[in-house]
Amino acid sequence: MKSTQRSWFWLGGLVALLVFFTIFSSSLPDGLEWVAHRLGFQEREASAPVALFSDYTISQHLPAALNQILSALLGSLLLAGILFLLFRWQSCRNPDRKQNHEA
Amino acid sequence: MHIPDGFLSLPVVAGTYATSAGGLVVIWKKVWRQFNQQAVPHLAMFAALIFVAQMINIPISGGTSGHLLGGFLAALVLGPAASMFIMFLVLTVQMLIFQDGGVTALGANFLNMGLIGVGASYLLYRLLIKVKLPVLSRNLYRSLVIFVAGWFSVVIGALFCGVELGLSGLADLSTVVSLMVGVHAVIGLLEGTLTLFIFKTIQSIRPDLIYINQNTG
Repeated sequence: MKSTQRSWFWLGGLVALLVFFTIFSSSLPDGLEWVAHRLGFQEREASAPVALFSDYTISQHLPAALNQILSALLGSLLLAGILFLLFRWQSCRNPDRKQNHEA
Repeated sequence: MHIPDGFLSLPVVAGTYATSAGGLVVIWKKVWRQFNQQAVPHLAMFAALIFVAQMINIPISGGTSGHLLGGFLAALVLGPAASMFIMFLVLTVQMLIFQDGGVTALGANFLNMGLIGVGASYLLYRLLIKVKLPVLSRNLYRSLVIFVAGWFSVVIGALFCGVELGLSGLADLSTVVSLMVGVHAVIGLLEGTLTLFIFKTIQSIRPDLIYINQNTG
């Protein structure tokens, strides 16, 4: 693979387009929720011990569409940050290690 | 298909966590060998793409909805190891920050949508792509295989999810498995279609980025 470092320009465009489409997300139950409701075990669902922005809601005071967009941006930034830190950490642990260098 | 807290029994939680943890160690070593730090923006963008795509629920018939899982798509573009690793990161962020999927179910969710969903669909792709069908052009056949493997990635994940729910005593095993597979067989059509569409888009813009172009037929 060559020049993957420049791929983020157009991949970023695709992500930005998808971020916009999050505002049209359906509120219908997904497959597992549908099955759980049908078989009657939906009420077994327990609240998670850790939840900062439950159900992609940054603030109850914001419109739903804005919550969706902000959640999409926040999640994307977090993922980028985690990947950056992981690779940096691994580079520090193995400074002389040879890689296949796909990028 | 994100299992929340409260659904899985302790033995199932322990088993799925142990399996997923072992798989994750192997995957990280492969990802680290395959990519260097310059590839981080590329991986991050793809992770963002999967995260955002999973937020877009599209109505399916019968009062249910589905979204792109993206694991098989990522496997085609980045390779199976990187795809599984990105799925783990996406599931972790969804769970910790947005309460989408349970803390106790992270092992099961990663097993279903990451290890099994990506691994089995990628294996199916590798097997089917070797078959030669004279009645179809190579390009059309490849598209068909991508669609089928994308569909399969959802169905096989749903099958494992159903087994975990059944073993946890939430419902009769055969009933929950058949319902999970049945509803996700329909949702999987969306996965197959979107996987093929996005793959073709990337293929037309930057074919040099695609893993399978260098590693399979």
